[in-house]
Amino acid sequence: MEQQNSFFQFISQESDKLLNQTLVHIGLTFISLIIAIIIALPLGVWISRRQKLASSVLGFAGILQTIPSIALLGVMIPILGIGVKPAIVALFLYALLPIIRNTYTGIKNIEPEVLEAAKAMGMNKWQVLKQVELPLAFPVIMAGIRTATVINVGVATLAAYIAAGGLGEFIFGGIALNNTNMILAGAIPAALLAISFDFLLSKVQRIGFKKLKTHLILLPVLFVLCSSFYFLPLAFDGKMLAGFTPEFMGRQDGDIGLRKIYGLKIRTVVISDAVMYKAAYDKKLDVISGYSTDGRLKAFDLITLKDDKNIFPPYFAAPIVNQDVLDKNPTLERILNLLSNKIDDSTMTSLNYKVDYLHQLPEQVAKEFLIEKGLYKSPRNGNGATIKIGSKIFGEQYILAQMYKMLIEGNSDLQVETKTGLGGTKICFDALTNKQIDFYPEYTGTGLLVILPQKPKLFAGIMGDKEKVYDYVQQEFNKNYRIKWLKPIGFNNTYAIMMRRKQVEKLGIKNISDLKENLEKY
Amino acid sequence: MIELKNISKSFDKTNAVKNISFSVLKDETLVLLGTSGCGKTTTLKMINRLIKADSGDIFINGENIKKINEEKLRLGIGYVLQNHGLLPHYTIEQNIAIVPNLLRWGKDKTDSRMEEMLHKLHLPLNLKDKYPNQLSGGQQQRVGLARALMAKPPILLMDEPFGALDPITKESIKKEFLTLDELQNKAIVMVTHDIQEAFELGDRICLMSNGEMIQIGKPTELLEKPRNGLVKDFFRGQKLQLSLKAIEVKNLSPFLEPSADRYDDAISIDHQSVWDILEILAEKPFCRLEINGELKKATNGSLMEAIEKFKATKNGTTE
Repeated sequence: MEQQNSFFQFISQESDKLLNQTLVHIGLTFISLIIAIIIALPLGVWISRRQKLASSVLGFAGILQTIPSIALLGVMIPILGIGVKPAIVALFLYALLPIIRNTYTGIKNIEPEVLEAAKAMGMNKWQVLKQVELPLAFPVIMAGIRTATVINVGVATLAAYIAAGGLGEFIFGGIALNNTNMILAGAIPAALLAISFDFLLSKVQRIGFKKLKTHLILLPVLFVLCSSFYFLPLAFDGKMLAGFTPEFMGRQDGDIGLRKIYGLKIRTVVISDAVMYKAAYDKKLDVISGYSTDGRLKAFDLITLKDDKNIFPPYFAAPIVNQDVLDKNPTLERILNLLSNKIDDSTMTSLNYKVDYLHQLPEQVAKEFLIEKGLYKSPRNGNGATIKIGSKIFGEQYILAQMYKMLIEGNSDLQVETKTGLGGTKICFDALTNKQIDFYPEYTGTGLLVILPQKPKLFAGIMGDKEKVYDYVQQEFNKNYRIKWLKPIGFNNTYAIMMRRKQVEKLGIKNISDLKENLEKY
Repeated sequence: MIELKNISKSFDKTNAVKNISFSVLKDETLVLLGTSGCGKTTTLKMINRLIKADSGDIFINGENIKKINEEKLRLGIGYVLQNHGLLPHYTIEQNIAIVPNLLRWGKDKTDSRMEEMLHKLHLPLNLKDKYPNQLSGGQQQRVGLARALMAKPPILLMDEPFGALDPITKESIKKEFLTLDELQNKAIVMVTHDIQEAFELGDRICLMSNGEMIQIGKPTELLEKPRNGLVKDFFRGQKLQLSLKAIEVKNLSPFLEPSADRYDDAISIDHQSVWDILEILAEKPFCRLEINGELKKATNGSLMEAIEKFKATKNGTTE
């Protein structure tokens, strides 16, 4: 068995990427922070003058703060697309509240007698603001900026979901791939950034406005400098842009394979698969990593490039179930196998199309399909044991989870609880081994390459044969985890490299090797 | 110098100040005296427009203050606050130099004036680099006064300037205040609720109650000829002490026995009140006073007799 790489080996192997991501991370944090300061500081001063507006402005900024970060990013996409813009806007919105609130509080907390004295001596409004209010509120305002910086370093990890880069690329890649080193390679630098920025700003805060006065100009300069880090990694060229999911980025049968086996060199951003297809359609991305049964393939007129060097193994879907659960509920295996060989590639693609593109509910799509196949039975509403079904966070898995739910409820007295939207293979599989779920649909290739320990020589021999892969994972899962692979559902949802039909036709690209040659031509 | 005409002010429907008129001469100290909430501080702050009057006019040297630029008006008026009001992030030097800097004085002029002021207010020079919270209460209040007097404003407004000090510090600062040459030839308006203080420091007293002016006049007038019961009630229980404070010893000179023998322990008299001498006599049977070069002998008894005689002649001449 190949030795698992140590954390430091990983860091040194990926040092280029790590540096790149760290710079982008710092850049994102500070660009949004500068914009937030420019807007929030005057706003805070203004509401300290107009008491009536204070509560509504602070209330509004407070509401922004309570929106979950991932949801805020999601809301941004239809308006601003993917990439840097929505990420910066979202980070900016998060940084607003602490700065506005602390500016306001800092100024409000100044003793009225001090302000009265300043006024009574003949200072005008600007002089009072500049010489008295801002210097006295400075420590409190700095505390707000500190809070905003730390929040931004944290939230900026999520920017990876929408192709804005940053240390989130490693974190989400690592979660998706069950690769602890990768998670740590993103999480530790992110934590160190937060800690060191907080420490440095606390120093500035303690020096105080007065002594800082002459050096105060350095602070904005430093902030702008940090912001410019964002643009450093963009300096290298590339005429096509690829968007890959975090999981794809770190897989042998993903970006690593593309680079190692095809020698493909392309500028790459990490992006969540929820927005990837749309981004390709909108010409924001040229090459994406998709799933061959994805409904959006059809909707956005994308073409799958042929995998001429066989780096993508077969991905036949089948439910994987804890053996204990099967033993306790003897009827369950028969019920789950009702679906075996019922859904082929084109059927799955059209079902996915209904959910992903036509936005029909997975329940509805699942029910219609079962009725059409004569498998649907009304729920018995029994009160047997509860079966917990898991699913990963994309449409196909939601549909399958719903189908299984209806089959179980219609054919037995068992009750069903669904835990859908689990964030990736690692999360799903851990939930299964920890008995938080009883089964979920998994793909043979994923089982082979992501979950099982790596044995490249053995894999090379079975990679092209779907039966051999299925037999191997079934045997190994049973041995190592007491988890049973039931019969395959029928379709093969393999990874695929996709491009826009028009671009492919124009460039005459048919397979991945063609793409590589095309990229190297100029 | 300062003239208030029919000034009124209300906050949220309560009338804080009702139709007040008075004027202050260019070299006198007018004390606004009254209980808390009587409107005296509001009246004071309307003079430098920290508070805007609802109706009525205020004139300074005949010019309506509404027509003067706010900042320019305040630069010509010294202001002393109860809790010193020093800027906590400025050193003593920077605090004192605020007004000169606003007036764009040169550094040399500011420095020499500052040294002069520190000296006059008995503040050591090494205080300059300290911050307000490193000073004692008495020092802070002196710095506040120095700051107000830096640019030699013709008008000084003081809001309970001794209110936050302990009794011993208060006494010593009040003594300095009476003798400070910088305070001569200024129109001073001072707010206090302390009757003793008003009698010691005020040339005239304006007694206020519930936003209204009850009586204005010299301390002795308020005592001897109270306009109504309210004024009488205000001084009840302190009348003897106040009247003893209101009479200067030098006025009693004709009614005191001369002292034949010369001794070095004679007290030279300028502005001391009868009360001051009685305090000395609490510790010894008699003392010698030097009044305008003449040597007089005083005991408790002889002072009391002199007061009686003084009052008789005073009444005789004035009426």
